[in-house]
Amino acid sequence: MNTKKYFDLIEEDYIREISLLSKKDYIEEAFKLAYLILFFHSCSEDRDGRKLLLGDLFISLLNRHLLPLDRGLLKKITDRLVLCYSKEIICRKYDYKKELLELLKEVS
Amino acid sequence: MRHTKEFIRIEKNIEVLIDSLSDEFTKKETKRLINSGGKRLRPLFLVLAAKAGTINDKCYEAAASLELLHTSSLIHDDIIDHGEMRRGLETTVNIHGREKAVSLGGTLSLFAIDSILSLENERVSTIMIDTLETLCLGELKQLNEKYNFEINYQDYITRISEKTASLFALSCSMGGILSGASEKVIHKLHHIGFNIGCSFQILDDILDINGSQKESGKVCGQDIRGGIITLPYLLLMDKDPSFKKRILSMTNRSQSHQFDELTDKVRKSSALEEAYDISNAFLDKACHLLSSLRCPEVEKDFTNIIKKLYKNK
Repeated sequence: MNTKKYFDLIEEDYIREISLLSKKDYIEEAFKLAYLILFFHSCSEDRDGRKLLLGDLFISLLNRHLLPLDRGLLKKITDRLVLCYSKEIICRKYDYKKELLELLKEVS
Repeated sequence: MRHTKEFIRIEKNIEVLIDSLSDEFTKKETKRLINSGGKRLRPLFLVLAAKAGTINDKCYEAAASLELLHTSSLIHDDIIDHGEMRRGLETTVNIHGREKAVSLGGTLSLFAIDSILSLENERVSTIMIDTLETLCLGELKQLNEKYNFEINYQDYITRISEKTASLFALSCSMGGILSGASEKVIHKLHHIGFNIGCSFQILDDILDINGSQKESGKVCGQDIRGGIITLPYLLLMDKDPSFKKRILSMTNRSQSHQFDELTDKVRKSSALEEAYDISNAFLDKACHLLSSLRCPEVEKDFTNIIKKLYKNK
C-alpha cells in the first residue's frame, strides 16, 4: 500500500520539527505514521467510518515499519498512543502533535 | 461442555491481560464486552491447533491477546455500522459515544498487538501484522463497494477471506508456530482455519437473513440495508433475473422496507439451502485437511466444532 500519499495530510510544522529532531529516516517515518493513527482516529467528520479504518490500518503499518528496525521505539510509541487514547477517554482534550513531539525529544 | 480445561485457561489469561490495562474505563468496558458471551472461537482455535505440537504458556497468552484484538475490531465495526446492540447488549458507541469507542478500540488493538510482540516470536509477529493489514484493507474495500450490488461469487469469497477467514487462519497458524509444529502441519493448520472461517462467515450471513434477534444479537437484514450484499442474495440473483434487476436498482436512498422485501424473498427461496451447501463445502475441505494431519487429537477437537457448524442446516 502506498502510504506516502497520506503524508500530505500531516501539518507542515510537525513535519519540520520531526525532521529536525529525528536522527534517522526510519524514526521520522515512524513519527509520521504515529501522527496519522491519531489524526484519523480523532476525526469527528467520518460518516462512513473510512477514517476510523485508516487509523486502524496505520496501526498495523507502524508495527510493520518498526518491528524489524527498533522494537524499543515501537514500544515507546505504542505506550504514548495508548496514553493519548486514555486522555481522550478521561478529559476529551489532548494535543496529539505535542504528545508525539515530546516523545520524539525524549528518544532523540 | 467440551474443552472446559482449555476455556478455563483462556479465560484466566484474558482476565490477567485485562487487569494489566492502565485506566479504569478501559478495564471496566473491556470486561463488560468480554463477559457478554462471545464464543472465544479464535483463542480456542489457536489452543486446539497448538496440540499439533507441544502446547505451552505462550499459546494461551497469544490466545487471550487474539480475543482482545477481536474485541477491538468489534468495537470499531459497531461505530462504522452504527450498531446499537451486540450479543444482546448495548454497544460501546451507543453507551459512551464515538470518541470513547474509537479510543477504547485503539487502546485494545495496540495493547493486544504489543502483547503478541512480547512473545518474541518473529514469525508470529509478522503474520499477525500481515493479517491485521489484510483485515483493514478488506474493510476499506468493502466500504468502497457499499451499495455496489454487482459483485460476483469470487468477489464475495475474497471479501470474507479478508475480513473473517484471515483471522481464523491466523489463530491456527499461531497455534502451530508457537507449539513448534512442523512446517507442513503449520501450512495445513492455516488452511483449516481459513476454510472454517469462510464457513463461519457464510453462516453468519445466513443468520442475518433468517436468524432471530435473540439468536444473532442483531436486527435481521442489516447487511443489505447497509449496502453489503451477501452470498444468499447473490445465489438468488443468479437464478432470478427479476430479483437481480430489483437488487441492482437499490441505492443508499432506498427505503428500509424495500430492502426488507428483498430479504424476505431470499428467506422464502432455496438460496439459503444453497448457501448452507457452500458453507458445508468449506467444512468438507477443512475435514479433508484434518484427516491428512496425522494428529488425532487436533482432528477430533476440530471435527467436533465442524459438526456443530454442519448441524445448522
